Parts: sequence; C-alpha cells; structure tokens
Amino acid sequence: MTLPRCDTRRLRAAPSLCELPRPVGSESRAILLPVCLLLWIILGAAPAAAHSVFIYAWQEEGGRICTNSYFSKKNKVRGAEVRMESPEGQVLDRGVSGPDGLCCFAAQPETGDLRFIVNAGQGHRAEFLLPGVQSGPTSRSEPASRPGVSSRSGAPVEADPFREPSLRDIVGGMGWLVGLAGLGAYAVSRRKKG
Amino acid sequence: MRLFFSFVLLSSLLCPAGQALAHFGMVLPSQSLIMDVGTANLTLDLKFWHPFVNEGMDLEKPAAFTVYHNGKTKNLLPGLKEGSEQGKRVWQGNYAVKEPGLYAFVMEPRPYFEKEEDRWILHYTKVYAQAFGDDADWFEPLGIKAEIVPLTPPGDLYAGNIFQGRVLIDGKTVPEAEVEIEWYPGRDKKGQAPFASLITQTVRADASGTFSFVAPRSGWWGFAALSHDGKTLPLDGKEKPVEIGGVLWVFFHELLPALPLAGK
Repeated sequence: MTLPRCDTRRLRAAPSLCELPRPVGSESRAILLPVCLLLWIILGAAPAAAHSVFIYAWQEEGGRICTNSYFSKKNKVRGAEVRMESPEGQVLDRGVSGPDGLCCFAAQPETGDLRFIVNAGQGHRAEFLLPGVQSGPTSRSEPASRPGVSSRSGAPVEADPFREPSLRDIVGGMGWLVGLAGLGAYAVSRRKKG
Repeated sequence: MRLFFSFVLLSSLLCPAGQALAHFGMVLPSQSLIMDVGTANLTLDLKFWHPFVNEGMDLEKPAAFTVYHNGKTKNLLPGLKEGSEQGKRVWQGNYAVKEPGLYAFVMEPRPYFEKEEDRWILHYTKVYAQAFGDDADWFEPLGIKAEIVPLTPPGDLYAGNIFQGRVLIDGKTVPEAEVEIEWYPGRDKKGQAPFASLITQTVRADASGTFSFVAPRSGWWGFAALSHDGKTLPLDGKEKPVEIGGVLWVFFHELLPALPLAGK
C-alpha cells in the first residue's frame, strides 16, 4: 500500500497528517491512538448530519493533482480518506485530507479521466470526476508533496479555490502543533519507563 | 343601451385589455448549478424581454457586464457577441468557471426610453451561478446601484419554496419597494396565463425592504424591484424621469419523486 499523500499549503510549518509515520506495530498504534484522540478533541469532530460534503479536484502545472474537500467555504473536511480511482473504479492512490481540506496526489503516468472520492464518515461521501488529466513525470518513491513544497516544479499553487485561511484553519494548525508536542512527550515518557 | 353593452362586452372579449407586459433585463447562464467540469464553461444570454410571453425588445450593447467572485470582479463586456432572437438584438457572453464558489453576473444596460410610460428604464440585472457546492457569501450585497439581495440561498430552491429578497438602491434598503415578478418558460416557449393580469405578479416589500414570493413552477423567475432615485435624463431637450430597477433571476428546481431504496 502506498503512503497517504496530502498537502497543506497554509500551515507550512506544521506537517500534514500524511507526514505522520504509519503504524507498523502495536507500539505505533498505541502512540497514534492518544494522538488522534487529542487531535479530534482539539480540532473538533467533522460537522454531522445536515451539511453536504463536496470534493473538487484540479491539476497543477507539473502534473500534480490536488483535491479540496469541504462542507462549505470555511468548513473543511479534515482527516478524511480521499481516494483517486480510474473511471472503472480501480483505486490508484489514497490519501488523507489535511487541516485545510487539501490532499494532493502525484502526477499520473497516463492521460485520462480520474475520479476522486472523499469519505468523511457518517454518510458524508462525495465524488468528483476530473476529465482529461494529463500525464506527468512520476516517481513512486517520492511523495507527491511535502510541507513547504507547493508543487513538484516549485511553482506557486495554480488554483487554490479558497485563498484566505479562516480562523478555524489557524486554530486547527495550533491544534496540530499541540498534538505533535503531546506525541513527543508521550514518546519521551515511554522511553524513560523503558 | 342593451346594444351598447353588447358591443362593449364583445369588444372586451375580442380585444382583451392591454396586457401588462413588464420589461425585464435578462442574464441567464447555461447552468445555475455547476457540479461537474463538463458544464463549467458557461454561456450567458443577455436580453431585454417580456419573459412570460417570450417577446423581445432590442438590447443595445450593455454599458457594463461584470462577474463578481470571491471579492473580485472581471469585466466581461469585451467578450460579448451580438446575436438575434425573434429578430431582436440580444447578446451572448462566455465564462469558464475554474474553481468552487458563487459567481454573480451583472449587466448594466444603457437607458431605454419607454414611450408609453414616458420614462427612461434602467434595470441592473443580476444572476448567480453556484459552482461545486460552495455558495459562500450569497447573502452579501455586491454594491451595485440597484439590487435584490437574497435572503434565501439563490441556488438551492425548489418550486414551492419561499424566496425572500431585500431591495437595495445605492446600498440602502427601499421600504415598500414594488417588485414585479415573471416566469420565463424557456426559449421558443411562452407561458399560459388564465388572465392577462397574471402574466406579471407583483409583491410589495415591507418596511425593511424585504419581500417574499413562492414560485409555483420550476424554471427561471425574474424579480424586478422598481424605484426612482429622483434623477432625470434628457429626451429631445426635455428631462424625463428614470425608473431604476434591480433585477434578479432565480432558478427554481423541480422536486423529483422519491426512488425506492436499493434492495427494497
């Protein structure tokens, strides 16, 4: 399975959820659980029920494909699984939306249509068909995006649908920092116990 | 006397009272809701029309045609192309929607002199298109000379829902503004009214400039809030009053019947 590949543009100092180490054993899972719980408490759960969820996708210069998942302009879908599929339903890649609702994928080796699906839980699911995606340089070993790198070519983001960070984004970013500090403290305390 | 009344009755049957045809500026996008990339290249039809009966008048090239999105504006006037419908001058524009959000298209026409009413007509005409689920800021005024500001999200209405709007001229609410309303049945179609008086419906705003209307049928409905700002324009050396209109076009969707759940 490939690593989740997401991007965060505004909170460049804070790594996105995609950059967290993947759990490989029970110890990692034990660390991840309290961190996720902490983040969930700080960031707040996704709004339930009445809101519809939407996902929008676009291709950037250089071939990278980005998605934005949202309930509304100021209310992003965070921490939700985003799948990139072929029109026939073959899963090509997966990622998790960052605090700003964004999730980017590497350029694809072939030109064609791509379907993006976000699953925000509690029946919140949306999909978006991006036709005519152009092929681009690919490297499976390199993540599609890293914090501080807006695109593979280094060019600025082409079409960020929502340019202004909201207060919630900022508070969410602080939540990430607090959560990561908690992760570090927890790891240190376990090491001491060991 | 009996003969006279018979003549009047016959005349009224054969020659119905002059139809109250309201003038509407029209700006209609090819899609009011854009949910897939295939419909994101909008065409916009600009007309000066009697919508319900679908009869046109010539529309001179507008003074301005602008799209408002995300706090920014873009001049679409240079891209307008002249056309003809029913032998009348109409205009068509194009706009490619490239990101989610609400797009407001506004036409400022050149003043039109209406002989029968002995006044100039100047209707600022607005329509919204909503893209990819984001309708943020739909309740914000654009700041144009005359406008109807929706109090109900303009992209999410079913026929039978109530639509409310607030009438603003120069940014100020217009108490008890008169709002004329007409349905546009679509190109090459005309509406059927049981009586001529039902072609144009009228509501009056309350003291806060707010009006309400329930559209009885799906499709495009035009709302024209009419007022005067006291200004005049000359015609043959004489000053004539100017009717200022804030026109808003709203699409009401048809509520589709329920489907059985899968497997039931």
